[in-house]
Amino acid sequence: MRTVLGRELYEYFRSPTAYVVGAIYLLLAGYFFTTHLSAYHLISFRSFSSLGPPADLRISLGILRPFFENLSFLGLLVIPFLTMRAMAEEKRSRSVELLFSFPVSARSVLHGKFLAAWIFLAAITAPTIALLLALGTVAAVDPGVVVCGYLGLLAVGAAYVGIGILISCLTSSPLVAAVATFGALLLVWTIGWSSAIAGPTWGPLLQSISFLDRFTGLAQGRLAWGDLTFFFAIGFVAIAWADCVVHSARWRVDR
Amino acid sequence: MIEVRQVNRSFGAIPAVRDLTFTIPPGEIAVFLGPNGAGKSTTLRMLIGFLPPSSGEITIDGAPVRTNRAHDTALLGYMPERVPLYDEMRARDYLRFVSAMKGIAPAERDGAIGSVAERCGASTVLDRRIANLSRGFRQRVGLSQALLGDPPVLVLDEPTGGLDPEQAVEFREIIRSLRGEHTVLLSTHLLDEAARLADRILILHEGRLLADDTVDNLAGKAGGARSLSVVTRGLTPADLAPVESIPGVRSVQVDREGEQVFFTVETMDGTDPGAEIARFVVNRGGELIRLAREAPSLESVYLALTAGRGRGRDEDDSHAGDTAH
Repeated sequence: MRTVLGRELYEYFRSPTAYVVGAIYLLLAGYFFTTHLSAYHLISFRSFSSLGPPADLRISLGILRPFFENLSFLGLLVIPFLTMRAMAEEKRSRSVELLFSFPVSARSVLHGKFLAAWIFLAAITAPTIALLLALGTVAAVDPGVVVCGYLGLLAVGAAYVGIGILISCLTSSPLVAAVATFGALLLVWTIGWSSAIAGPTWGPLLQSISFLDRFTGLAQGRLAWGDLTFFFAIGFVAIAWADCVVHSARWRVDR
Repeated sequence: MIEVRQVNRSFGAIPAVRDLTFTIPPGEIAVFLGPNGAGKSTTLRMLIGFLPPSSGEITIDGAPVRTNRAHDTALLGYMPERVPLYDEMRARDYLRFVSAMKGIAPAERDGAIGSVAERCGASTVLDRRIANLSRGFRQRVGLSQALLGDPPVLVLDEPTGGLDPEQAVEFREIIRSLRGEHTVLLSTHLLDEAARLADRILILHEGRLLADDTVDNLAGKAGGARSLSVVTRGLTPADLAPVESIPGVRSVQVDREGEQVFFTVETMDGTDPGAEIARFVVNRGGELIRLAREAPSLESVYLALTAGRGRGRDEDDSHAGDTAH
């Protein structure tokens, strides 16, 4: 697994595409942060100068929560680009035959690819800490909320990457894998929105599997082990499923 | 040593490989010959453990081939057709990756890479990106990765495909140098290449093994007759008509160009009427310019074996994953 992890990281850190994706991710993260900071500044100014209604001015609600929610939403956009090639490209180029001619298990290959994409996601997310450090110089930022938010990002990232790699196993076209991954992630992100019209039976179920609903608590500093476990479990199940797909005889024939 | 026993592989209702049994002893170079859809690539995929057989057993040096070989040692080196490598890597980094995948100890990797690259003529490109390599050098890097770890068995799928004639000759020379050290099974549809490289030839057709023997023995099995090529002067084609009655002669084809008369004599199995023919020509007052014995070409043997059996099942390729050649 370590060998595959090393090769995948080599590819991520030498690939111009990954850098472009990372740069856009950070630019948008900075843009959203600045926007929310400006909005927070305006609201607090109005509140203190009695120009508007009294507002809840907690930084964790006004800045940190939208900041982490936006980062997790940006994950929907970048993950498809990070995982689309994972197995689809190996199948398309037929390098998968060579890969599986080595004395390694498909599981260790998948774990290596999963970890590499997850580490790369963490690596492009890490510079956003600088934004919060800068904020900390002018405001009291609760480190507990920050830690909880980043833990949540790591957890939801694991789920995203797992789903992306699973979908990459289902096709030999990286483009199809990217589009399908984006669709699937958007669905699980927003599925809770349908809970209001889904009735008393399905509504709570949809809410319980909604990534957004589960992430919101983590984004505002409410450390819920159930939510963290949920995201990591989704990633684990997706990779286990991908392992089953790769082992199927049909997968080895269709290309 | 490769042992394949009663292996079958179907894709749905379509049989791709049927009752395949053969053994390749250590150190031999065996060549798979067959048209598109004959089952060559399917068989190779089963050999490398990528595709499980529907039934039957494949062993390499006594160890059964499995699709999940997490704990196996590297018994096999594989070079797929058109060698799909990771283009963004430098050749050396790629070979380091393969070394690690094959479980070569870190301290030994660079030495092993240098050694195989030297042998395959890839030393000069080790620090170049694979994307920038020519086809010939890609193939050399591909063979280098197959040789890493010194596996006892090498499986090479169309190893000279797409190479120019000069590169193909050099590449065949490298493969020939592996004889004795590795058991090599390669697939090709180039009859000439098969004849030059093979200790033995396995002819596959519609998933069945039609023949498994040396080129010379295949000629006998297929009924491929040997022939004599004769050039004379001073005789007419009519003068040569009695040649057909010489014992051992099966048929005669006569052609004339100026003063010279050419004739090709197809001989019966186990006979050599060359001396009688030479005597006949001289006794008739003709001048014998040339008399040469010609073994049947692999092409004639191959055509004789597959005659009337169609061109294989191209439609099966999409199921079997065989590539179009």
